[in-house]
Amino acid sequence: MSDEKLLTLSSSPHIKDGSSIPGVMHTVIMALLPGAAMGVYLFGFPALLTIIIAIASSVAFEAWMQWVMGRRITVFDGSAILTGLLLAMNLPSSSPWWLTIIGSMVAIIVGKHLYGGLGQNIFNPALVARVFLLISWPVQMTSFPAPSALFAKGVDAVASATPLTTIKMELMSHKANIDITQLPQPSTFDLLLGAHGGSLGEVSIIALLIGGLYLLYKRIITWHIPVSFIGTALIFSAIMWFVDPAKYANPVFHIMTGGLILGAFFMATDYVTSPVTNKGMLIFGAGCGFLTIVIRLFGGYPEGVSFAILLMNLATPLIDKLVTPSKFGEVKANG
Amino acid sequence: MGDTLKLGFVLTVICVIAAGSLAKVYDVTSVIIKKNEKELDEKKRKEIIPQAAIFEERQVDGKPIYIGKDVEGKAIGSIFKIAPRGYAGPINAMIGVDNGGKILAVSITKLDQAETPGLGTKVTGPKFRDQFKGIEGNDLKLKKDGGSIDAITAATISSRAVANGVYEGIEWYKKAVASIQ
Amino acid sequence: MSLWKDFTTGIIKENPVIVLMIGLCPTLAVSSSANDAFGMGIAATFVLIASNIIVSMVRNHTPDAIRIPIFIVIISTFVTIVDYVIHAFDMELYASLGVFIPLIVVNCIILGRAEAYAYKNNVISSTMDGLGMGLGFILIITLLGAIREIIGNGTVTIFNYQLLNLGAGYQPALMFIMPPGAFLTIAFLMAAQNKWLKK
Repeated sequence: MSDEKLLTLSSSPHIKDGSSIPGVMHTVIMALLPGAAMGVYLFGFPALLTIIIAIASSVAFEAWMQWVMGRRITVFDGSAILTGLLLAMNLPSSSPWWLTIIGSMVAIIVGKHLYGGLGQNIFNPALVARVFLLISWPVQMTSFPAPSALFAKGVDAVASATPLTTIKMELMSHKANIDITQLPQPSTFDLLLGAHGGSLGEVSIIALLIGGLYLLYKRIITWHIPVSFIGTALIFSAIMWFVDPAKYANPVFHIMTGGLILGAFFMATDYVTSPVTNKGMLIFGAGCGFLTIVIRLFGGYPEGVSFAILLMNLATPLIDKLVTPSKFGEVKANG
Repeated sequence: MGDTLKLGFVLTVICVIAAGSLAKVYDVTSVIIKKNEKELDEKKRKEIIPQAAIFEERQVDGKPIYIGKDVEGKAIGSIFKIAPRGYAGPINAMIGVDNGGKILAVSITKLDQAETPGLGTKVTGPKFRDQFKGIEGNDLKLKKDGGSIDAITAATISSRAVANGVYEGIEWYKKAVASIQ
Repeated sequence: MSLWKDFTTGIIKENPVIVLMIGLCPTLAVSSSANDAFGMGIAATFVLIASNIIVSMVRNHTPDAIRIPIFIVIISTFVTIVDYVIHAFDMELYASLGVFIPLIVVNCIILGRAEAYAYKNNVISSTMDGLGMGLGFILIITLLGAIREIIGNGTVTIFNYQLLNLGAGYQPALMFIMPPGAFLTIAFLMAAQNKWLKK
């Protein structure tokens, strides 16, 4: 996030405005609320509990870690709250409390403070935590309760596979004639609204889009990363779909399932871990979209958004170097 | 030139000594290794059909089948191998059946597979393997596929691979046995 | 006294893994359980001591120009011996160490000590150096293996003796017995070493 330090690393034009860390953080949190609210509405009280635990423990770990490392304690700048909320939105609503707390611990301590704190982290902390949890406790991290419109009591505890998992299972069964178009899948309308299995904050495409557009309107993020991320995923999955629709799902399905929209608008756009120039952002987004589809279609995991963003986070310094704008008057060397 | 010859000579001497000592060690250990491997295979087979005194290897349909015989030389069961494709490569398993083709045991050791540690590797546990004992036909499939085998949580792919492998293995065995009798 | 120093430097002050940071590949690759790690430690230490002794013995007859090929021939001979011996006497350990036994050849600790120490010192000092470095390696790789096994599997087992079992209620973090867990754990070990030993 943009820092109050004298030397701010950002692309030109360097115009000063009234934005501050708390301001930006609060806007992003506001933008996430529709998605989180839909999660609570669909998955009931456990989802709310997961969100509360994630935020509270993130704030606590942030304060503790800043105290241990002798840094200024800035827990109320909203960045820990945002990390906690993003983490919760990446968890199944049924996560046990200890899983959520370990997630916060990994996000704040390993993902953020061991790299030097806010503004220094290489990876998106919430995604570091999500991947850590996914690899460590795959059983808990992939048991998604079926959504139910009833609030609180009576939430259906039956596990339901995500649409992407359903497809991956079929593909990994090594059967002779695989045809994924025959599998039972939620309707496009249900995908838009969020009535299908998945992490509590990634299911409702409409709510996430509202939040994403709000961020664009508030100029917290620019269009480059979301558009190139989603666009690349769309084009690449469309090509594969034309090749063999029985093995590769259609592009619209790919955009609307998993964490693609959540990732494209809220996680890939993190200032610290994405390139600073517009051109860099386009490359970054394209890389995310391409890797996501590669992992979904050819990898061992059904979903690849988290891995794709983390891998591109890693490439961010290289991208920044590649597209550094030349200084005024500089002549590019030939050869 | 003389220098090169000297270097070559020193290196040759060292290599000859090394090769000589290796040959000696190989002589001693290779006997033990061969014996161990044989015993290990034998032990594995004994665990599947404990009543058998000896096992007779026979090639059927291009694959080895081990026929277990008791002390009187009567055949009491057979063992054959399957290698269904799991999540991370083949899962090498051995199936023991009695004369009627009923499953006595399915054996998968930790060393025979490369599934995800802590998840897919649970197919090697007795809790999963013992489900196959005594059942046949469509029951050999996972509950999700209409059979009676409980899949391991979050390791459906490995579980399904083993279940389908056993199912197909039994089918193959029945056909193979029918063809030689 | 100096022999004692030769012996102890390798264990902590110049620990090959977390201070000199050599031999990281086998350390990371074969530490998913305390037992495998310990077995790897013993195997590599045997090769290290033996190669140190031989290299030191032949150092006066070794032409400088071809010392590296000679070291490698000596090391690989011992590695092959270890490979045969483990295969003959512990099938299970052999299977789980698998491809990593032949790779002891390229363990930097062994070639590193041959070049940096045994080539320049007498046989007894070199033996002590090999013993110390080997113990340092065993210490760290076993510690790493034990930590990873506790967190990732809830147990510590050495030679079929279960030293610790967190019970069925414990939910193991599988990542720790997979490769990323090795990197994370060794990073924490190095951080601890930086904080407490470097002063």
